[in-house]
Amino acid sequence: MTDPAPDALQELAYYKRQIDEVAGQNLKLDYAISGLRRQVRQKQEGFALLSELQQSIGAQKRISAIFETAIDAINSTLGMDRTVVLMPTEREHAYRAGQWVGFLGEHVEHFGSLEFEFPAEFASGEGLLIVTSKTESTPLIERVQEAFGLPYFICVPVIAHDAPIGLLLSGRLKEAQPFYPPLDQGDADTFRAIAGLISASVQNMRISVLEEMDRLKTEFFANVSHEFRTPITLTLGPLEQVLAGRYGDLPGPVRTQLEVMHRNQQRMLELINQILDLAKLEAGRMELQCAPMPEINRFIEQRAGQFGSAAGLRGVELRVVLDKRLDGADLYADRDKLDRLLVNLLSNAVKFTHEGWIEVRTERAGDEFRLTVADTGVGIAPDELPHIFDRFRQAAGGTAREYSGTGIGLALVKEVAALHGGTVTAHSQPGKGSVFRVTIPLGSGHLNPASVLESAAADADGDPVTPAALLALGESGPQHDVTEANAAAQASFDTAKRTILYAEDNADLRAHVRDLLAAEYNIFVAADGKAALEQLRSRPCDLLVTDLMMPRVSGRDLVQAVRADDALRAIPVLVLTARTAVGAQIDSLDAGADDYLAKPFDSSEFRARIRSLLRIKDYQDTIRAQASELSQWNRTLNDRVRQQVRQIDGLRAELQAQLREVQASRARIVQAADDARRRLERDLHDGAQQRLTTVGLMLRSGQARLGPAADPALVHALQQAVEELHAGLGELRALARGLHPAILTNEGLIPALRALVSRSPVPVQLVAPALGRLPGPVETAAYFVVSEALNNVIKHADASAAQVTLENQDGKLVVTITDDGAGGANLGVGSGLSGLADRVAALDGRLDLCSPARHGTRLRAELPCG
Amino acid sequence: MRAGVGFSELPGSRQAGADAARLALGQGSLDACDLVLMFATSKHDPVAFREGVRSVVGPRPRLFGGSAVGIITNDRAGCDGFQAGVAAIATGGVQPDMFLEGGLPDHERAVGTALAGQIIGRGYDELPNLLLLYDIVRRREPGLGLSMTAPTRLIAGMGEVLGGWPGAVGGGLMGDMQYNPGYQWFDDQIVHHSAMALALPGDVRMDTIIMHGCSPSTSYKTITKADGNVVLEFDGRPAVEAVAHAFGEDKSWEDYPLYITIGMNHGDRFAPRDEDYVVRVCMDIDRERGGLVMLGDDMKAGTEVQLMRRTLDLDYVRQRTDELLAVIGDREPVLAIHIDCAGRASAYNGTDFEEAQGVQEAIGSKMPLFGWYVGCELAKVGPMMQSHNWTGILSILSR
Repeated sequence: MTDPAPDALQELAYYKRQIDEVAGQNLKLDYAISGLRRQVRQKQEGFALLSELQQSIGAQKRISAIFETAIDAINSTLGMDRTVVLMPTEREHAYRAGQWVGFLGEHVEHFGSLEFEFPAEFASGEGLLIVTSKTESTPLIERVQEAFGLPYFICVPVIAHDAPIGLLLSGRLKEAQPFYPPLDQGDADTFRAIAGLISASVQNMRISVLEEMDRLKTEFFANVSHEFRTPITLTLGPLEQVLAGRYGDLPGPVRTQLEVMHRNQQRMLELINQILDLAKLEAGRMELQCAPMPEINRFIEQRAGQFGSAAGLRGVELRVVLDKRLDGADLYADRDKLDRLLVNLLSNAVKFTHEGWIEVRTERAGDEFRLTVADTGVGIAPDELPHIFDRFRQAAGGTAREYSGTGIGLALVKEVAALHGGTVTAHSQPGKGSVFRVTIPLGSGHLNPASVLESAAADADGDPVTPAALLALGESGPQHDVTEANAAAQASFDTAKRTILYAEDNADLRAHVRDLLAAEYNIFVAADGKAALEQLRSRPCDLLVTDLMMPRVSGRDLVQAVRADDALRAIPVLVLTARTAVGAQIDSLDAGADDYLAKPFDSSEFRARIRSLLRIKDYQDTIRAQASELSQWNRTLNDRVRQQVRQIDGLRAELQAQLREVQASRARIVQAADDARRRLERDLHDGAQQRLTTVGLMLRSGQARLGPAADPALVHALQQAVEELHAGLGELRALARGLHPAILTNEGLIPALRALVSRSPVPVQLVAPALGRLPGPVETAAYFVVSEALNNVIKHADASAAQVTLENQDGKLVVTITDDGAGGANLGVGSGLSGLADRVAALDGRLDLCSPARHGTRLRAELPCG
Repeated sequence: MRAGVGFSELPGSRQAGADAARLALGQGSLDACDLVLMFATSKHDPVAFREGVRSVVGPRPRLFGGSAVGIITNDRAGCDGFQAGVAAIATGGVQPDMFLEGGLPDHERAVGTALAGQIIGRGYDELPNLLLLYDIVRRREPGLGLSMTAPTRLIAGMGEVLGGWPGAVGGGLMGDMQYNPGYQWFDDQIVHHSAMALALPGDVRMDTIIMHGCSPSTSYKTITKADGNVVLEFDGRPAVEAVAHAFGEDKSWEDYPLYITIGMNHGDRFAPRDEDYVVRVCMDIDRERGGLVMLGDDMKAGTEVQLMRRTLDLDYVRQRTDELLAVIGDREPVLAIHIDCAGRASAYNGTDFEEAQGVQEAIGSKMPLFGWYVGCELAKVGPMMQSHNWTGILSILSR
């Protein structure tokens, strides 16, 4: 076989390279596709799991069951080995394993004792922890890994109602491409979606529980309200009999009280009727009994007329405009329901209109009946308007309740209109007024046949007047009684009595409390918080009693305003309100009230609490007065103390000046003494010593001239005289040195000390750095300290050696003399060292002696050089 | 000789064993059986599972099997859950023999020699068809936890004693992809770290095909340096560099394990067929030496190899199964055995189809199909037994 041609080999190599290039591209593509497939699979599994979970956890009624279902599914579907739910503990941000799957028995034994603290922001909803082999470790990650034996994991919070209800933690034991790729954002997305699903399920579960509770509550209200009607009817009936004079004339005050009772019983009946309506609405049980109403105009005119007086009391005109084309019209309606509809619209109009007019208009528009109630009242804010037909909605709701009511009236209107196949609309402008229009189709074709009666219902002529018209005015009408009551209180003002202000928007209650308290107190009243505050600022008051829910300024705001006012804050406040919830009580006390009493209240208790508060106020006033007096005393004492301190300071300054003078005198004395010593030494040297030396020379000369034949007695006498003279001269020199060594003046401290120690019979070591020349008084003092100390060493210490050390420490010359002698030296008078203390003190220096018996002596002098 | 197979995913191990055994007897219309092949994932308790099987088949039948990543039957396939499978076989005069040899991690080749010695020692006139199972998981060591050289050394040891290989298939057992410790059932013994063989003497024929999941992708490259199961160089270049050149420099070495596969062609180098290939998967990277750590130590210096690419194809699987069925011809099929690489399951491979589905469709109801997912597949290429990766082995027992 022949070798292939070179060209063929080249071509072969070329194709080989090409193949490998393509192969590489294929591999890359395969890898990319594999990754994409994995992602698709990841998503598919995620979606499948979410779909499965949506089915399975939706039916759960317990949070633990929801989590249990979820973690089982996560482990089996997402290829996770272990999954844990970390539940919040009583400690903030701390979690403990609550449920788990994928663990063997021995693993879980210690779970209950482990707590994991996650950063607060982790549980904010955006928290996410993905731990792979490339994640930088933290103490928290390490703890989780160790506790659950999970090297790779994801953790996401599950949030419900803005709070974490658990952390979902799931992971794998292995991380290996491509079977176990590292956990990534795709997995995180799935877990977040699962957390979201759990969260939604928990919230839904709670909502359904709340709905069920709500339903039960409504049912309860309905039952209870129904039961209330019987006793109220049995109260109203006899009251009406009494008021009608069946049992004779009534004394004025008794009639007034009975009228209050009657009015409020009617109000209660109305409220109960509203609750019953609400219950029917909630239960969807409101049914119609529609009968022909050819006399609709008359019906409306009559009902509207019942509101005329209420409107008139406010100075509001009530107009009724009726379309005659409706007379005999084919209108089917439930008379009772239509009555409630009309009453609600009219009572609202009366309630919210303080001036101008109210118009009730009927119209026939084609095949429709229209009822329009328009007013020039306060109107409704644009943002409130879309919600006014919602149940429990009161426009401009809040703690300052401008108008009373349950907030279901308009919802009922809408419901009644809808049951009649009609609609209700509202138009309004704040400050200008509102227009409500109800439209109901004529005929009965649109009604459920079962609800249609073909015979007309009984005319309403004989029906009792609904109390709603009066009630509409009841709590928010003109407050004539306030002016009258306050005028009466002012007229009968008794300075011996305490004064109470009562803020309450219900006139009957104002009257009742006034009656309760008028005998004991000067009682003033206000119809709202704002008026109460104005009164408090204009008239002294001992106690404020206030309602909480009032127009304009609520009781709570009133209390806060009182507490914020320096002039008023001492006034005790008793809150009297129908809000019996503990939260309202705490809220009132928080706002600054002193006491709280729930309506209905026992009058004895009410009076007792008032007395108690006033007593406390008296104590407080007394304490305040005493405190003021004490404060005054305190101020006086402080002034005196300050004065005495000033005197003492003056004396101290004087003493210090004297001390300084003494010091200076002492320094002068020392200096003078030194000068005198120096002079004496010079005099001794210049005078006595020199003369005596001359005498000595003369004596020696005389000795020399005596011949051998000289009288031996004379020779001996001369010799004795010479020796005595020499001895005297020696003593004189020593005395001169003791007075002031010349070497100290001429050569300085160190040479002087060297000379001193060289003469010492006890070996003395002198340790001194090169100090240069120091001020004369310092050198003199230092010299004499050493000199005197060595003198003591030699004479008294029985020492074998001594040491003298000189140091310059921060501008001070420190001289230390130590010996190994008997110790026991002191600085007392007669010690030989006592004179040194004055010398050192004259330089503002310090002298310390340490001389324990049998342990040597250490004398230390600090001499300022400045 | 008749067989039936049963599949269960009941989480209770005893229930799963009983359920699968009951279904197996039912599918085979068997009142009783002599031999049970049984496999289950590591989520099952081995004792309870065996008791469950025994509770249905009774104390007499021989039990042979072990841990598997998943199970395949005629109409079911699944992995990494609570899958369990039983094949109940009424041998009908064929006397199966079973052989067991332990201590695999320490004596991989010697275990092969000893196992083959047992088989030879039985004194067969002709070597019977063999089903070989061994424990691929090493319990003792950290790291990958797989016996990286066991497959090649085991079959090398066996081949040395057997001389020539009879019909034989097998696999390296593991119970999950985390390489958790698995188990082997040998009658009523529960063992591990063992190799075991089921011999089917007599007129039972074993026909086998190999179904690859990879195709040659590059030109031939020569391994110029290797150390045991670590391929160090291709054509004089560090192995990882050569792979990076082909695969792309933008991929990190962490991307190679379980993705890079190498093929050895034991047939005609340039023939347009891939049945003669042996595919091996890279399990890890030897970072210090720039080598590829392979499952098997027979890729010596001088071996010519190609980088392979994944080409798992359902049509190809169907076609190969049909080819095997054609070989059976008029013989009576007893049982189809599918020993499949766990990586070929869609859960790990990322495909949107289940490769086993191709086999299931082709086999249909022609015979019971019993398969299990393994970590390493054993089948002959030519006359020699080979250890394969990323490969499906399909074998039909017929009479």
